Amino acid sequence: MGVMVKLAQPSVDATAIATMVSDTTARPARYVSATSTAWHAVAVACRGPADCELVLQRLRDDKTHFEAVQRDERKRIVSP
Amino acid sequence: MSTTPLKILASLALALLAPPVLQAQTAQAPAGAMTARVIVKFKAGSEMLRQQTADVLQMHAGRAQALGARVGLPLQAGHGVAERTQVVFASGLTSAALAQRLSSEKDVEYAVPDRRKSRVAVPNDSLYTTAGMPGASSGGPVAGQWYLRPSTNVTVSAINAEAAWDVTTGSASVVVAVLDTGVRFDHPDLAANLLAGYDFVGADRNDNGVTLSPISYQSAKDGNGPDANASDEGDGITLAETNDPAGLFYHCTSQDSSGQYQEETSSWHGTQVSGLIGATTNNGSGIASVGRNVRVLPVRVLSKCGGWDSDITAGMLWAAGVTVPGAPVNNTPAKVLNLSLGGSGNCSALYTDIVGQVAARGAVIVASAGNGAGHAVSEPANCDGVIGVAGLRHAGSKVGYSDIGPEVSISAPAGNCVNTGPTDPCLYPILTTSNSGAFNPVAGAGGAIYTDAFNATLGTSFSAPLVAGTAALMLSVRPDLSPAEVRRFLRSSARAFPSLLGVPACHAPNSSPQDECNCTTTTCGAGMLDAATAVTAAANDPIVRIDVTPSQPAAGTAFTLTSAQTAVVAGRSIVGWNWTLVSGGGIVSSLTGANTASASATPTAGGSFIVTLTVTDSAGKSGSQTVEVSVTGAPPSSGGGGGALGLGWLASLLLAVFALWRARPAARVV
Repeated sequence: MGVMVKLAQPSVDATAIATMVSDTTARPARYVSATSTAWHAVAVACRGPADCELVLQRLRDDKTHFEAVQRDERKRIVSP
Repeated sequence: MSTTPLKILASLALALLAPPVLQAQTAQAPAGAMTARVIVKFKAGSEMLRQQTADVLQMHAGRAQALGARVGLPLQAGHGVAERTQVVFASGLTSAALAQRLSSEKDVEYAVPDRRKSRVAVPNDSLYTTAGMPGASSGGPVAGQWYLRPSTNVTVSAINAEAAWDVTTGSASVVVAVLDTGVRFDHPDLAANLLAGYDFVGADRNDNGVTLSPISYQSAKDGNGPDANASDEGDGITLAETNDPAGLFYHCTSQDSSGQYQEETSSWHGTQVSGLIGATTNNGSGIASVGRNVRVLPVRVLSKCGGWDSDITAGMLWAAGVTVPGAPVNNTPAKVLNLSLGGSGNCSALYTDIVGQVAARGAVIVASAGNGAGHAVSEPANCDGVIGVAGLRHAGSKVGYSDIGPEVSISAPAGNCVNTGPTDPCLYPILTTSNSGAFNPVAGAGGAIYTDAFNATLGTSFSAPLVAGTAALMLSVRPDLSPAEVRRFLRSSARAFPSLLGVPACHAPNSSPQDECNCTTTTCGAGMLDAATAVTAAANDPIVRIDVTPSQPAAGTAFTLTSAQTAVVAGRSIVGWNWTLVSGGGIVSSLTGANTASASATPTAGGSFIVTLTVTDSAGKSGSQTVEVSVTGAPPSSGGGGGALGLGWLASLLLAVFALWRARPAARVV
């Protein structure tokens, strides 16, 4: 699952951010990209909708590290 | 009985009584190295107006002489403009300096430089007026770029860019970022106004947003991740791709009426949007753009199957000049961002944060409402601080496919075809730049095409750039406008929606689609985009800015509202202030200094009140600003206490603590 996390302490250390996400969720995580020093895209391994929701909840609960958490979703150009 | 003779008599009488404007009494400007030329209007009842003679030339000369004596400067009279208004000349100073000097004279209502204006010719781009392409003879794109011309009783929603171009044809220093599929740099009608831009599209990800391993670039089609090449490589998806369950683009296209996923050729969407904002105009070929001379910064954030929030938001920050880790510094930050893209859902924390950062950089964000046929407005158009744009038919009603809702700021033409058969031309498409490639681009000028009645451009994707281009024109004449002020001018200058017979009124979106409907201000924004009025207002009207001192007013303590940051056009001064207490909120009953530069009051309790300031400048132009001011402290009590320490007192104390804790901003624009 692609996740956008807003760090409580801004950083650009991709490895540390992926490790932080992995530690919090107890799931493998891989760094994807930076939007800013605060917002980062990370891919977290989860098994199905319920497990992915659990992962999101764990990240949201970890206020020490993450100020905000949401899915990294697609936007489209939509033809009428 | 015919009224014609009466009309003739009345006309003759009016002609005799009217001030002799535009007659041959115009005086020659005096010779001199520097000749100031100013239009001056005397106040009603002014002593200067006692210079009444039958000879108009003498009368103007006498008034100029008297005014000159007052200010200690020889003035020569020019022609009359109206009963109390005339032109005056002086030597040895600039028009602005003379205007300022005369403005301070007590008998003068206003004095402004008499500037030369020249009408900008209707652009000579071949597709502007009539489109010489298939369908033209059958009423298709014969309408040409109808949406840029003045509104008519047929093309009601046309934005009147022509009159806006009389004010400005856009400044090359104003940059509009197009966050989209990239752009075709080889389109000859675009090349001159394109900046290099950046490509934020990374490696392929699956539907869940997880990067594939091994790394691939089937979506981006450029063989690499983010880089400085914002070229559009095409976003078309073949029938095989959309029906391949193991592929990256499975069910990534729309379905036909039988539920089958269809092939979709490349949209060249970024090229189409860019053309509306910045195609080279008045070059004898192709199309005209709204922004004409403004620059387009292509920021590639979409590719096959769309784009990810992470790439889009990175692109937004970079476009506005904010540092993005891993990307080079943007040396040409944009003042306007156009996002003709969207997804369902409320405005998320991510977009709320990014929109705030972009606005803090002074950049305007314009986004399309979406094409879900009357459903809720897409993210990011639904975010506070974003100018969300809904789509209109040529007749001014909501076009069937446009989404709507209270988050929409304004509406603009989106293209509509009227009731045509499958092979008939579309009657009111949006014409713009494109590429002839079906899936991959056809390189070079040979691939550069324009959309037309049979390859029609339709969608709120194309309403947004009409607004973005207008915002760029506004910033060309008034670079200090904040994003909120651009939005305010766009909305206050918008034309009222028509009410078409037999068409239902639009209502708040729900789970059912909503086809064509008569727009309301709660569903389609403030009105129909009027580029001319918006740009004229931006060029001329005072920008009213209200500050509150102290920044966090408290109950029982006096506060002051000031207008020191209010800006008027160079050479003018503020001649009038009018503070109006729109709503005292039960805590402010009146303002002192209601007709001065600052007003004050002492709130009796915590809560909020709403105040409007209207400012008038020396040219008679006025502007307004309304703010809601929050006051900390206990809210007003609803009944008498007698000083006893009862539950009411405790509740007030708790409310006071709560009010302080909330720490809301002191004032916000309403």
